[in-house]
Amino acid sequence: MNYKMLLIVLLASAQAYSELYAATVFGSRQSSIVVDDNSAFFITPSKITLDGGNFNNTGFGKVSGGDMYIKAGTYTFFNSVSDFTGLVKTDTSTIQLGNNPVTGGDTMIANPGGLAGVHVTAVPGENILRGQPLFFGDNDLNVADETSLLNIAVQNTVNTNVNLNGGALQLQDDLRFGDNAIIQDSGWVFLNNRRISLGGQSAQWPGDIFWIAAQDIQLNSAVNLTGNWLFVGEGQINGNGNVIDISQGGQILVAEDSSLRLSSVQIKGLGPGKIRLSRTATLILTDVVLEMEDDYNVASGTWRVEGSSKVITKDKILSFIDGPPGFKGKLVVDRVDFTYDTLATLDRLNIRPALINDPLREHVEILGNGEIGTIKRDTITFHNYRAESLLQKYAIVAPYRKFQVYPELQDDESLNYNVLIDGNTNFLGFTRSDEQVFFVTDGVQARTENVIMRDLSPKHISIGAGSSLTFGNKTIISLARNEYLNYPWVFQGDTMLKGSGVILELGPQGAIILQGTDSKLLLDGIILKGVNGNNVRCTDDSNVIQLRAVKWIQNGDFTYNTGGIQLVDDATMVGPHNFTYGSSQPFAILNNATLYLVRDAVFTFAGQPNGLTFEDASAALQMDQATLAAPNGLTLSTGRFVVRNQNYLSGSVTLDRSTLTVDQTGSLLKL
Amino acid sequence: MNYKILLLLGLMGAPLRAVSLDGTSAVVYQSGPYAFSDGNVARGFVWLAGGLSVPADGTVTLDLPIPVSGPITCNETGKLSLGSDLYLASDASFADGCKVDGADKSIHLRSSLKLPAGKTFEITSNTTINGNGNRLDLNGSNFYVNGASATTLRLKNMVLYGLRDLSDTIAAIRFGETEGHRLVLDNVTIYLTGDYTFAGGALSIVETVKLIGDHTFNYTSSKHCIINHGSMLMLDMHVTFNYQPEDRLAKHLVFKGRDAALFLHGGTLFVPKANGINLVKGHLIVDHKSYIQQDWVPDDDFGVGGGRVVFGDGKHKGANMAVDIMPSAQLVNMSAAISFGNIDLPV
Repeated sequence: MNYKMLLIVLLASAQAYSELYAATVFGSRQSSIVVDDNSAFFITPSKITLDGGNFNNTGFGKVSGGDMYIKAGTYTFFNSVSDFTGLVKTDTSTIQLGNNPVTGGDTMIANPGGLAGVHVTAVPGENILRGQPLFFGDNDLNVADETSLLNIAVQNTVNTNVNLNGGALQLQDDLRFGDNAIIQDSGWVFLNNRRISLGGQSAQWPGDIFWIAAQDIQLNSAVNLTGNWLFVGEGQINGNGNVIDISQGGQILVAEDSSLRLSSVQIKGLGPGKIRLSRTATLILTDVVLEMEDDYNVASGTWRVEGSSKVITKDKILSFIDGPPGFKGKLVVDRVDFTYDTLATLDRLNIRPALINDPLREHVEILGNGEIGTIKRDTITFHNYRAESLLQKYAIVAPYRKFQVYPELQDDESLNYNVLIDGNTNFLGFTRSDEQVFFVTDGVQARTENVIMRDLSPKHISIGAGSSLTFGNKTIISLARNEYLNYPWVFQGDTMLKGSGVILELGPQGAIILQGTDSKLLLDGIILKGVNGNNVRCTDDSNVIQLRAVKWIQNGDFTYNTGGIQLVDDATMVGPHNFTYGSSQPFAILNNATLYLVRDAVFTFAGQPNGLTFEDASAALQMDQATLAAPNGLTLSTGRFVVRNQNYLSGSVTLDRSTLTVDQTGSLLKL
Repeated sequence: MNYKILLLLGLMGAPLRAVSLDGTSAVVYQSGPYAFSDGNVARGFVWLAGGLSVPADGTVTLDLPIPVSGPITCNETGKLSLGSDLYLASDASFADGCKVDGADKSIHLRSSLKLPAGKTFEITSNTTINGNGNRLDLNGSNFYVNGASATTLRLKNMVLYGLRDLSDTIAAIRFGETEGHRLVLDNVTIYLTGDYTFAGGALSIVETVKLIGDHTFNYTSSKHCIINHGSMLMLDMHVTFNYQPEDRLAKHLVFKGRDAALFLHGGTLFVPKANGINLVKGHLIVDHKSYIQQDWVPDDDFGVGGGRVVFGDGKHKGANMAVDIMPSAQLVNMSAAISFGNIDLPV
């Protein structure tokens, strides 16, 4: 190079500096000021301009003082280079775009690895951030205010939060948030036919965001939406199976003439959270699960179910209703199923109106054999503290699926300890485990109804402190194996205890108690051992214990003083102990039933003299090496009296042979 | 003029002993070495074709319009007093050291000149050595500016080769005790053959002055180094300009205007933090990878207890130090604290 020429040229330009040029001029974008490590570059004025070149802070230098406006140059930080027109605020290591007094907008194009640890603040104007910047701060992307727009085309993951401050973000390329990065506040997002992928870490989104033409929002984790998301134009959220939780008051809103497609997403908390549509807006559901926490009315816009979707209503009601004049909510199910799940609560036709109640299809329309239906489910622990709980389906109770009865949480948040377990005629099937699997927790007074407790064992039940369990009306207990009962089983109402030939032995604390009034307990197919004292009893004379195919084996004298006994089929009492029937209520042997007294059995009938009754001539009393005592007198009539082998009579026993058939092949001795 | 005629005239008038030579009325031709006596004068058309000698401690005044040829012998302490510019013919040379009383006149080189090794050329009054584009090889000799106050040695239009410190106390260009001496470098390319220390005098840069060589130019003088209007001091690749004045003031590198430039052409401006430097009103041009270097260490709090490299004053546009960085060039701040106080100008 001819340095003299150079000198002439440069000095000529220098002489014109005061009129034409910035104080610092770079010959090309590669011309550079380098602040090396362990160096300092202090800017004395409030702002300087570097025109067209490169300012390179190698990372461990100190750059401070006034701001530095780089005009159509490059900015290097930690060896990363960004094409840049904008302001570097040195004291805060912040890059500001939007300081250009002519265009109002600045540009940064970060080459791979650029922008380490630098904040980008897009101040008013239309600014551009492109390339592959890396952000290491938590809040490195900020839009200054509502007059600001940041065009963003970042090709790598944005690992920093975006603060919109009411301003706008417009995508010029797909935007991919890092796992812990979100839009933290309120503003506008223009997707501009690009995709935005949210981070993979569950996060709260508190801001009010206007999503403009947001046709591709991808969720990669749960979103706890506490702000409002308003969709304008065509929008779509692809949840990838993730949850948007609006239960803390978040709202999803769709503007007039706009639509929002929810796909593969679960919305939790409908009720406290809202999905609100403008009059002409449409919400499209595809593979969506909505969970309700309160009744919810759709009074505007159309919900269109295009892919199978479900609402977990529990006991809440989702209603499509008329809104203010000109507004109405409508549900359209297009050739797929739209189901609702009441969980353990009663089906109350939880999506309303039912078709039959909407003959003009004002609010619910089914297209192409679509269907609105409910889900029957196999609950694990069906009891969910609600008064209307009942078993929706049979349930298997096992060590891996225990049944626990807690006090009910009432609407006023108080606890109701009187818990009804309504089986809804279903059965609880107990596996043949020796473990406790049915727990009545402390203080709970539990009562079953309308349930079959199949293969129940006394071992299965745990009664907590101060708690009780009553097998109530329409409760059937079946035993599957020989059992030992050493605590009371209490029955009330119309109940049944089935054995199918197994042994039920009562221990010292064991008892079978029939309580209430007009209660009935059928003991069926049981070899009942360990009977003594009054460990099988009624608490009221209106109660009746029925026997069918029961072998009654006492290990001591037994007295039955309250309520009645009915033999609905054969029953056998085996000696040698004394059975004293002292109740004023009848001991009735019904049609085709026979009471066998065998092996030194002593049956003392101390009831009414005519209290031992035969329903008809097919009813029988057969003694076989037994004793029949009647201290208060007893008249047998109508049925059959069978005597085999050596037997004894005590007291005044009258055989009314005019109505009683006596079949005697054995002896009958008077004591 | 027809030099053959002059030659004939000179031969006719040749003296027989060392006396003054007067060529004002006729041509004087000396074919062999001419030994002047103290106080002799050679004036007019005197052709010293075989060189000349000056007796030790003697003075010979040369007032010649025609070049001097052959060896010039001053016997170390003899003095050449210039009555007019002195032209050295292409075969002229110095045989030993010499004193030069330039009297505001110039010595013109007609070709490259290599000084005798290890000699001293003492400049006793304002003298200009105009190389006319030729090379002046110091060859281990030195210029000693040692006249009355404000004596100036101007080196002009030359390639100055071999500038370096000759010893711890003697530099290739040095100044006497009297204040105000000055070296003017005027369109000079300097090849440093070793580190060089500029001490004691002032330095003026006129036109383009290039420093070349992988060595350091230590500026330790407490007098100004002035880069004049339309002038440029260029530090070529690997040259370090070490601004380290004895008085530790930051103001001695003076730019006369924005057309006065310091051109870092791959060179380094080194400024110890002990003094710092103010770069104002001038023009910094950067090409290749050039450095502004100081000696801050990582534990320093930049700017406390030391001097920075200051551009402009942060207040007045007129104090700006214009910066031009050539295409693909880098200005590297190396362990330096730059205080950039240039004010934006209208763009």
